Amino acid sequence: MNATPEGHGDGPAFDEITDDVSVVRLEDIPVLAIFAFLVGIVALQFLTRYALNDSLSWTEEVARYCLIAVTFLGSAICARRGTHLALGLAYRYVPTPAVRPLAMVSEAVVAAFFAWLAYVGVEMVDRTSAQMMISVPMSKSVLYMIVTASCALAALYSAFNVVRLSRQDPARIAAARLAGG
Amino acid sequence: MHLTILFLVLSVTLMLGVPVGVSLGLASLVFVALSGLPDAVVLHNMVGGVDSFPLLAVPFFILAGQLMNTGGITERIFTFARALVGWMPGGLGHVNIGASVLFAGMSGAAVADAGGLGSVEIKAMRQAGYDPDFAVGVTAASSTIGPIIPPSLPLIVYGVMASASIGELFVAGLLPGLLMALALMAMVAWFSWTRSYPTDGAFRFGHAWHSFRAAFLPLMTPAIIIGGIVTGAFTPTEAAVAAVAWTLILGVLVYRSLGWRHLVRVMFDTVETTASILFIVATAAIFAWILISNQMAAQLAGAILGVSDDPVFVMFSILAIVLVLGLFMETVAAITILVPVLGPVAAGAGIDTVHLGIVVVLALMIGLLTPPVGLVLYVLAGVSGVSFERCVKATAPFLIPLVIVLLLVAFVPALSLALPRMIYR
Repeated sequence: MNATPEGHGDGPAFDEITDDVSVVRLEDIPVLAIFAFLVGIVALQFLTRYALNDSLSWTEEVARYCLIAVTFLGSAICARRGTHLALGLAYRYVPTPAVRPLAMVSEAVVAAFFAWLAYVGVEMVDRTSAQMMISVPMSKSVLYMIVTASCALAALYSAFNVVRLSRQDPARIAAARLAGG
Repeated sequence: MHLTILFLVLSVTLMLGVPVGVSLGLASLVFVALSGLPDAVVLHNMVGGVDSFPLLAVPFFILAGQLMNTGGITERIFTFARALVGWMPGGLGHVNIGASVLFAGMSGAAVADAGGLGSVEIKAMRQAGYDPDFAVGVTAASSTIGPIIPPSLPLIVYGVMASASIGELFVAGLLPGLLMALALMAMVAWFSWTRSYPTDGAFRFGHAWHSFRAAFLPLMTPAIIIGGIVTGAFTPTEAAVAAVAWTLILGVLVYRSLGWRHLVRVMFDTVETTASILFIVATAAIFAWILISNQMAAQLAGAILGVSDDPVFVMFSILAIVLVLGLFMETVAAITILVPVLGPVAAGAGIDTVHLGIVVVLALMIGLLTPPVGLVLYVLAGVSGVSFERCVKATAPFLIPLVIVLLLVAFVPALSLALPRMIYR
């Protein structure tokens, strides 16, 4: 959800896909790979259902696990870029000196939540290590490892954001948060 | 007592500006800790909340919607809508609604509609001399058509939560969506008449035909999605895959506007948007589980059905609950929490699950246009430069036609159920 910049000339400005990949970081490569794989296997399942009239059985389970991985790994990206959906309501009414502390507190809450989830995740990895996935010979704990790593990553990103906010101009913080994450 | 703390933590953190998904998760976590349940319950339910094959339609429809923003597709469709309905008095107001209907057949989110198409529409209307308030009002109201006409992200989430057929829900949304467009166009016509707004030039068949040809290939996307689902050829997820394949062909082969870097960026944006929605589904799932296991759903059903199990009374109660919650809650979170709670109430009065789905989503769309948590209004205030307070006032008159449609859809079940019954049952 980017605010469109003013258009050039008379015609309305239309948002086109950008080829700016500077927002993509090295650690995002796994989630992009998982997503590309997900697109591939769902397309494969689609084709096998139509062409062979018989869909591959393992694709459904694997696709579900990929979706879980994309959700959690993607949540870490949202935490880094502040794109988790939030209500900017408070920033309309608080006085300027309170903006920075308010943003830092809410970011710290996010960091604490994800840190706690990661802590619970470690326990889940341990518990599911003996459980196997149904259609592929892989332990279910692999899924929880990804979930746990995502939560730890999200906690780290949010913690960095707290530090970054402490140096940022309150007017910019309020404007960014009001726009609705 | 613990439930009071649950809601207290939720509302305080939401007001602090903590993300919706984190607020729901944190409140649930505090409740679980106080009740002495094992911590693992939270993560286990979160993962379970998104462990669903039908939910896969969410990233695919988001991906298709992103890919539509290439090769001047948005512009082609806007130009086509302009040639089609621009000749009426208040022409650009009608164009605005028409374009929203065409886009509704491709994208599934109101907020995305308001942010992308909305900024274009508002700019075009201001250039043509309309007052910005009217432009904002029409744009805000018409953006709510998107999630009613298929495909629809809120309806996918509803279908997963209520174990209803997403195909049926999609088909059921068609007529109510078109009805919303007609009602809004009537409102625009009335404004144009009282304020003598200009037309956008006379209707010229040649121009309309030319713009139709330019928009023909992109318009195949809604044709594939809606046609595929209505004829039963595709499940919603398959329709989403087909839409992605088609938009890829358009972008890479036909318009040649997509390179590798574009595709990487589109995947990145899709992952981010998908996660921002499904993370809320995940944490709302544990929140809903707490409400159910504490008999909240059963108590509510008892309270309402205890008064009367007359469908009209029950429907009024449901509307009241959804509209009030919609004032304060984000759409996906509201659906995930509400459905398990309202399901038994509706079932007790013999209200169809598919009918309930359309009513709930339509009522929540109205919540997107009202303060304090009107997400569409925040987005439009951002892109138009009109203050939030003025956006609220500008949108208010357009709530009248939307509420009338909501009441019609709520109390005339055939409006939503006739089509799916013809096709599926």
